[in-house]
Amino acid sequence: MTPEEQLQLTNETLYKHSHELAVKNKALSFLSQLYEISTLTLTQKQLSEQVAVALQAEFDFEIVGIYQYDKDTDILNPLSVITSERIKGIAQDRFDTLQFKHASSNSFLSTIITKERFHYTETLIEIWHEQGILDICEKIESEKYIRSSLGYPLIIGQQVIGIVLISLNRTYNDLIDYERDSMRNFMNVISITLNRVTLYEELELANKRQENLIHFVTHEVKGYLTKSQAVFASISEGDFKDIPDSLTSLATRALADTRNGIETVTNILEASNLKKGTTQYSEESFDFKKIVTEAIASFTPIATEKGLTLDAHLSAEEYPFVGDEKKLSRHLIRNLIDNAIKYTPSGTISVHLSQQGSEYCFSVHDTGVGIDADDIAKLFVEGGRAKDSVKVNVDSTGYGLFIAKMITEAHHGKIWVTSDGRGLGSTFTVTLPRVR
Amino acid sequence: MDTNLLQDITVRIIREQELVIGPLAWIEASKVPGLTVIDQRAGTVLITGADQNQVIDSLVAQYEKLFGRASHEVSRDAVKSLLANIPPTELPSSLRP
Repeated sequence: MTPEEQLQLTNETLYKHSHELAVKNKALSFLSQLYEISTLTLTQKQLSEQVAVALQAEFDFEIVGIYQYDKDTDILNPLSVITSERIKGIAQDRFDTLQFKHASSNSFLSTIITKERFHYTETLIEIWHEQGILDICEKIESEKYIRSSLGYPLIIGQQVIGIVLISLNRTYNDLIDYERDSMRNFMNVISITLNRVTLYEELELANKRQENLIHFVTHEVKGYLTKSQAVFASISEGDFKDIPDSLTSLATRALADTRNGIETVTNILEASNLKKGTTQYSEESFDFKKIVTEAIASFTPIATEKGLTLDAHLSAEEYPFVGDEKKLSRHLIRNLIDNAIKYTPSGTISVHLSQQGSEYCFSVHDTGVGIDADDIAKLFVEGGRAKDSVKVNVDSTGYGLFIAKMITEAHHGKIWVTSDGRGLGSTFTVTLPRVR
Repeated sequence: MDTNLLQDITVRIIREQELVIGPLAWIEASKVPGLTVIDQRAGTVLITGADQNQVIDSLVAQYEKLFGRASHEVSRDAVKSLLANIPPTELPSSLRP
């Protein structure tokens, strides 16, 4: 072999290796495109549309349809059908919305659905004969725009969750190895991706239903409790004559319990509204120090009765603020002081209010039961409670601090807690920007 | 054959060769008589001359001369989907099945 011939042979061998690499690169690049689509889309519709568009563009297919299979009804529903310009010219959008009823009875689809296998045909009509588009199929075939169709099952857990139907202007034998291999591999990725978004959609729907149910139930319960509260209040406050003392005492206790119940369901409703984003915040000017002072005044008798000292450390300046006075007072200021009293068996509760730069800083320090580091993360989430919180406070709903956090954040503020651990007290701190 | 289709075929072949041999694909394409690379990045070329099919045959041959039979297959596979509806007699001879 001459040196020139050797060089040529080396060149050709290198080319073959490079080609193999190029094919793998191509497949990887398309896989990464699919991966990107899967991470950026959260609905079946969006996902299937983007996958179908990508498949059509990559392989010049004439029709790419992604269908979801409902086993109970035996219906294949189109999630997305993309057609080439020339197919659109004949069929307009007729392919886009056609569903397959009795899909497993369709001679072409039955193999894919029941045997969970790839299937192939060179007759378009074999797939679409029951869909009322025979004329369109005949026209497409006479123009030789479509020479074959491929059907791939999308399988998760040995169950067909959908089908990808592809029609192209070549026969299966005309496909190059890259196309045949890629299609097989991509179907697994599409299955997993489609399943993920389906689960996400189902979860979202279940959450929404649960939220609506909670909203409905709590609303109903609140109505009953409010009526009971009125009855117990009437008895307790002596609106009826000739009521025995024992019954009055019972009604007074029942009234207190009912008020707690109303407080609980109100909190759950409030949390539900906050989560749904339906909570309305008023924008009113008020003195922030005033709501702190009022809260301290109203809680002082309760603290004193429990043998606690409630100290106020409020700086002398004025605290003009714009926001929802009622919500900040009730769910933030009062809630934090109330919690401190409930979780402090003995000792002191110190309430601080100061101005730090462009923020107001409100904090409640107590010498109470303290909080473990593990529990701190659970405190500000919906329904979150510290491990033993109900042992100390039987009325703990797990919603108070979640609501406090949502309301603080709605006013662009921050809320956090520090504690040196169990038995060592805790400090809840809130900062709110003076001007938003 | 339609000039736009011929240009699409040409660019598709060069792009596919580019995946294997890199920018050399464009350099070799620019050596083919009757073929002018206008914008490599945008993928635009101009085919001149009376026999435009011959230009494509020359392009395929240019790669084959350097890289052998395998490069011919790559060129042909690259345009399969574009040629499916064209009668074989109208195709450049290098791309016929």
